[in-house]
Amino acid sequence: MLALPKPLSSNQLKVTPKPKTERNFGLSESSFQEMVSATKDGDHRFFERAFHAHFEDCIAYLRRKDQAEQSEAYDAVMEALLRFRDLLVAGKIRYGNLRYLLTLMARQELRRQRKRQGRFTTLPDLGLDLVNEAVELSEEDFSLLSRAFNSLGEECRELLRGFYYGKRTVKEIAKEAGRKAPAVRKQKSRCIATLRRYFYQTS
Amino acid sequence: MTTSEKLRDPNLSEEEEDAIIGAFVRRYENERLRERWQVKLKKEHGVVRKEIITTTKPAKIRRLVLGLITVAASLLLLFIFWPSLQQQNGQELLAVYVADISLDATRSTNPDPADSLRRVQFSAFEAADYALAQSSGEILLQLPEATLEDRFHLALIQLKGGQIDAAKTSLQALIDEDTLYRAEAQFHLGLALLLEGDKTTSLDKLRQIQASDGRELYEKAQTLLRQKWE
Repeated sequence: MLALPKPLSSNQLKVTPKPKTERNFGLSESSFQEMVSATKDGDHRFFERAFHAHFEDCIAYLRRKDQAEQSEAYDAVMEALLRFRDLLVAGKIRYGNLRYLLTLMARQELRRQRKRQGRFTTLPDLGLDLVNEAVELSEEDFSLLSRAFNSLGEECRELLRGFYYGKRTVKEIAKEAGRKAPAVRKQKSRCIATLRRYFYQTS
Repeated sequence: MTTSEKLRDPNLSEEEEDAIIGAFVRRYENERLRERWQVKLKKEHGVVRKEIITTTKPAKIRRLVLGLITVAASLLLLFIFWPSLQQQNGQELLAVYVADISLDATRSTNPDPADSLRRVQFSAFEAADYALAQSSGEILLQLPEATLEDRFHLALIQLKGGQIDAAKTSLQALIDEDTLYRAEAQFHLGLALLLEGDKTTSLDKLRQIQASDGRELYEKAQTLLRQKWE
């Protein structure tokens, strides 16, 4: 699970703690679980319904707190939300204080953006261990792989999407499809081999 | 070795292959999701990314200012006369909103009973066979796999099929339980009450919809509130 910086306790802040649903974008714990399950299945409507209504609030927060321009705040919140989704399907987010976590991630993204642009920033490194890919793809490789991926059959794309994007195991995918896990594993290997073959052909 | 060279290497390890393909698929899907969200945020919440306007020449600025003054004056006149322009017969707008009621289609192709019922329900709804759509929905809600969305869809079908009392009961439950569909249920309950002729209660329900519930929903509610109701 993600190790968050400890927020100040209510005694230190001398404020009344917010109700749990308010800290979690209006979601109850069971709604949260339902949302995670749907998101893993590739259905993002619950996620969108829960989080998009607060997108503008998050932008306003970054503008107020970190003097961000609207466009950079928009980009930071968008990026944070995509990474939040990744963490959700990877099972790295627990129900508890989703609002606080998302705001921290948005600030972290803003800091990363400013550093990438070579701009001086006083934004602190909040030490969040965000999802970072071990592999960086060049624009050219990404473009060629996209073309190759689009040439795959729908079944292959669904399988690879479910495994790599939905973070579902081969066993889970097999169970849902009513098939045996070794057969799905074999199919996955064939799909990747085909993807690589299309990649050679297009490059 | 570049990523390209690695993908061409027949001796690439499974671990490295997994890392490359995984990174690609995640980036590809995130790009698709980003584009979808940009459109949805704009359409449903009026949130767009605003570019910073940089310098403009003096003559352009003068033209811009003149243009803005003209627009402001027009808007002022429109604002004065807007209420009377807006007040048309609310019944016509209500009919439009009820006609626009639609279900979100299921993406799943699973053979399990719940998804099969959802597909039957969706097809029946599209064919305006609300009796079949409703009975499929009622059976679906008996299954353990039934979701909140299934409950909301049944309420919409009941509303569209003229089963107003049943729709009101279904929608009120979604509101009372403070579900993810609370605001949408509130809006459609407003429609149901208007269909019954209970204007006062309906408008009261519509007033409870906030901008934070979603811009599109809020604007539809506000538009209904501005109508002339006999």
